[in-house]
Amino acid sequence: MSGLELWLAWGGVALVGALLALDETSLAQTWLSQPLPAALLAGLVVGEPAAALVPGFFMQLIVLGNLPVGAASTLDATSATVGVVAGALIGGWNPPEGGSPLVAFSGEAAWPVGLQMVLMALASLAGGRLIQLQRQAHLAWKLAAYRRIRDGDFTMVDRLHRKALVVAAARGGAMSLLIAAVVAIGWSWSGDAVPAAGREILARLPLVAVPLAVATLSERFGHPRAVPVLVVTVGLGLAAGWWLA
Amino acid sequence: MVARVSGGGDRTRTLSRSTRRRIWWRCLGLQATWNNQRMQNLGLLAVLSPWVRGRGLDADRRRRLARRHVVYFNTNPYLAGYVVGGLLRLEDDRREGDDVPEALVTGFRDSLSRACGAIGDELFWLALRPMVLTLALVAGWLVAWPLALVVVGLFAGAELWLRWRGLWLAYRLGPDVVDVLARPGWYRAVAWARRLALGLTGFLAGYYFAGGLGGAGAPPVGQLVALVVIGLGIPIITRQRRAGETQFLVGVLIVAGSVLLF
Repeated sequence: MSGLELWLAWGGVALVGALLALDETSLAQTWLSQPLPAALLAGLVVGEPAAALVPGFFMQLIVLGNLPVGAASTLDATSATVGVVAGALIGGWNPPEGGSPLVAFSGEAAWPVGLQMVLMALASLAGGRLIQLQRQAHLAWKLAAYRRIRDGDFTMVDRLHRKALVVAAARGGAMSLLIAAVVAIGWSWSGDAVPAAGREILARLPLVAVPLAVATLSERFGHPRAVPVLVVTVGLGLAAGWWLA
Repeated sequence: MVARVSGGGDRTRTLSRSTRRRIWWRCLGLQATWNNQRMQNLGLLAVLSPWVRGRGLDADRRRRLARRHVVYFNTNPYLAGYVVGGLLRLEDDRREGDDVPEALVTGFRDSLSRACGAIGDELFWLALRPMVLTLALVAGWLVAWPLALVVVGLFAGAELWLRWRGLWLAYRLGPDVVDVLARPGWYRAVAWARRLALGLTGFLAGYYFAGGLGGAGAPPVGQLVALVVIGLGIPIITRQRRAGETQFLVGVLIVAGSVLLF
C-alpha cells in the first residue's frame, strides 16, 4: 500500500466502523453489522475482501446464537471484527488456501486465523463494556432533561436522539480504528513472538467454531427437535463434500 | 396472545407521505436512545416527534402526549411500525374528537408492544438471523464472497419494506391491526425459519468437515474428534447463559490446556 492508500484505508476503517456501529443497534439493524458482512466490508476498504471472508466466517459462527434482545447484555462483535480484520490485513496477513475457511485443515498455517478469532472475541467483550457505558449515558441524559421531556419539549427529544446516534457512530469508528491500529502494529512482530505451542493451539481453534455453532442452535431450538434435522443435514453436507471432492 | 381492542374508526384518515417517511426513518432509530430504565421510551417519543410537528399540536396536547408515552416501552424494532402506526391512528382519532379514552391508547400500546416483542424476537432474532447469516456463510464460501453481501442486502431490503408497510397498514387499520398479528402465518414463518437455520448449519458443518478431512495438514482423527466434542459440549454445558464470544474463549482455554498437557 502506498502512503495515500494507507491513509484512505484508515479513513475507510473508521467510516465503516462508525456506520456499522449505527447499524448494530441504533439505526436500521440490517445485519450488515454482523461479523461476516462486517469483515467483508472491512476487507473491501483495505482491498482484500476475499481474504476477509475467513475470519468473518469463523466469527459469525461464534456469535450465531447470540440473542441481542431487550436488556440482554450486548457485546461489540462489529467493531471487533472490523478492527481485527482490517488491522491484520494492513499488518500484512495473507491467508493460505486462497482465502477459504478450509485453512483450518492446513496445519500450523492456520494459527493467524485462530489468533484473529481470539482477538475478536476479546475485543468484543471489551467493546460491550463501552456499549453499557453508552446506555448508562442515555439514562443520565434522559434524567437530566426529564422535566422538559415530560412537559412535551420534543425539540429536546430530537436533540437527545441525534446525540445518541452521533455518540454511537463515534464509538464504533474510534473503537474500530483503535483495534485496527493495535492489531496492525502488533501483527508485524507477532510471527516471531508467538511460540510454537501457542501456534499449535491457535491453529486448532477454527475447528472449534463450527461444532460450537451447531450445538448453540440445537440448544436454542431444543435438542429433541433439532437433533434429527441436524443428523440428516450434516449427513447431506458430508455426502455433498465427499462427492464434490 | 394478543389482547384484542375494539373499534377502528374512520379508515379514510391518513398520514401524509412525507410525515410517514419521517416517522419511518425515526422508527429505524427506535433503539438509538435505549436505556436500562425504560428501554425504548425516548425512542418512541422521537418516533412520535414528526407527527407532533405535522399535526401542529399545542403545548398542552404536547405535554399530555409526552406524559402518556414517556413510560416503559419495549418492542421488537422490526415490528415497531405496527405498534407506532396503530398508536398514531388512535392519537389522531382522539385528536379529531372520537371517543378514544386514554386507557385505550395506553392499553393498546402496551399489549401490542408486548405481542410484537414476543413474535418479533422469536422470528427475527431466534429464527431469521441464524437462517439468513448461515445462508450468507454458505453463499460466501461456496459460491463467491460478494454473494454473502447480496444475501444480507436482500434481508435488509425486506425488513425496511416490512417496517414501511407495517406503519402504513397499522395506521389504516387502527386497533384492528391485532388481527394481522394474530395470523398463524407468523408462527409458521418462525417454525420454517428455525428448520432452515438448523438445516443450513448442519449442511455447512458436514460439508466443511468433508472438505477438510483430506487436507495435508488436517489434524489426526483423535484430535479432531476432541475439538468437535469441545465445540459441541460448551453450549450444552453453559446452556446459553453466556455469549458466543465467552463460550469460545472457554474453548480456547480447554484447547490450550489439552495441547500443553498432552
